[in-house]
Amino acid sequence: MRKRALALLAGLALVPWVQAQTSGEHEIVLDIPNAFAIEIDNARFIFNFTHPNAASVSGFGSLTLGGPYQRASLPALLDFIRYVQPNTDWTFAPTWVEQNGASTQDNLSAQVRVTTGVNGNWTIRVASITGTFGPLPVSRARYFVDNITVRGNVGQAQTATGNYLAPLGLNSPLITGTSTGIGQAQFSLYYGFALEANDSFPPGGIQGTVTVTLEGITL
Amino acid sequence: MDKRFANLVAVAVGGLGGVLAQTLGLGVAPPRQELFLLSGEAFEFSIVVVNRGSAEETVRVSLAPFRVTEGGEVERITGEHPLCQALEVRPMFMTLPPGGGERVLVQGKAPPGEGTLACLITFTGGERPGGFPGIQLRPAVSVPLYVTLKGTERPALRVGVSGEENRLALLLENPGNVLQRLTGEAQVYGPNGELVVRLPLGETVVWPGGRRRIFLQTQTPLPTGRYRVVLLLEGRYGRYAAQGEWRVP
Repeated sequence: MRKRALALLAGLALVPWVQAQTSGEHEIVLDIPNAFAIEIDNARFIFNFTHPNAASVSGFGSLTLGGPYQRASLPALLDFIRYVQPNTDWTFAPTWVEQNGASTQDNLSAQVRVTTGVNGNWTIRVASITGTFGPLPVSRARYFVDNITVRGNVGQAQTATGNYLAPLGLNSPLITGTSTGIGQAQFSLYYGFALEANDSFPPGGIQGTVTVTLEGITL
Repeated sequence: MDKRFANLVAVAVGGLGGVLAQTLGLGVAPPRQELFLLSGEAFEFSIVVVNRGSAEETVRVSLAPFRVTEGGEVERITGEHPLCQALEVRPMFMTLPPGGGERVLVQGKAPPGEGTLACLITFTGGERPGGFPGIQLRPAVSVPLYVTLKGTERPALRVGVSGEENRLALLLENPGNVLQRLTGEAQVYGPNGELVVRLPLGETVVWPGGRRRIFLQTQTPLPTGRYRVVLLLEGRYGRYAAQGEWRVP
């Protein structure tokens, strides 16, 4: 009798376990973070004034600004020296743009993309400039933003440069927006280089590389 | 586990835009951190940073105090800052393969002070030497950290609304000591009191002791006339309303 009672109790104890085995259950766990990213074409803008011949370009992107712009080249440099008016400057287009080591003369811009998954103000700005152009200030590099496109709820993106070539400087904001959801903004970033009438070039010429850090922030 | 979490977030961040070839890029999650703490209270959180580029990236972490200007631009402040000094970030350097990520730990204690303190945690990619001289680019992404010290908050807001030809100008002034993060809308009423248009204001930050100037525009220009504008704003510290006039020539 006692044995039968124990067996019955043992059987009852197994019931919930058996039920759990037969019904089964799954957990689906979700964890989506807010996220933000900046992506830039791996580009190097070359202003090679020793180049023997480089055709001029009608403008950078949709910006003509009374162009054409001469690409940096030796003939262009000689034209500048011969024709530049006092107290004026000439802005040159890049001789070519390297994209991951391959050069192109057709696409003179770098694409910049900002991807945001959070509401609020976002900005892309020049966070630092390292290196030099020898005795010429880094502000001789001129930049502008063009061909802004937006997708999703990244907000209406606005460029602070307007439709002109702005001297490169620290903290220069390139583009800003206010996101109301997830989305992406993309734009073309162009660089020119200005020579001034009162420039002088030391023996050995001028060589230099400047690295521009583009920083993305969502406030 | 940390690596797994980092990889999961890498996939999440990657899914927003797809990994693109021939690029440099960095992504972060979360993109900002807001904490409400007592002075002296310890805190800890992590940031996952991912390489969105097509090549290995060396990433360096730096800390800097900052503020937001009237135009919405980020301005780094030089000098010592109690919040940045109170932070310990590990690791400060990392090498990330394409598509790879790492979880960065941020620890600290809320410093003494009042209101909102802010520090920018910046992840900067490496320079790429070689090639012809010229201009080259590198990516950086920053995570703002805001710490508001509980019990010291003095929220305040002054709002100006005025029409300037075809756009509505808002001046948001923050004489208080806490960051104001505001959303809302401007309601534009016609001469007969009818609602003509609503202009939404996306989430906007106004710095403690600072101000923001915002311009709102209608999709199609308003007909000539005098309009009454009611601005309704909402944030963590309350709701605000203001009104003004908009004369469209």
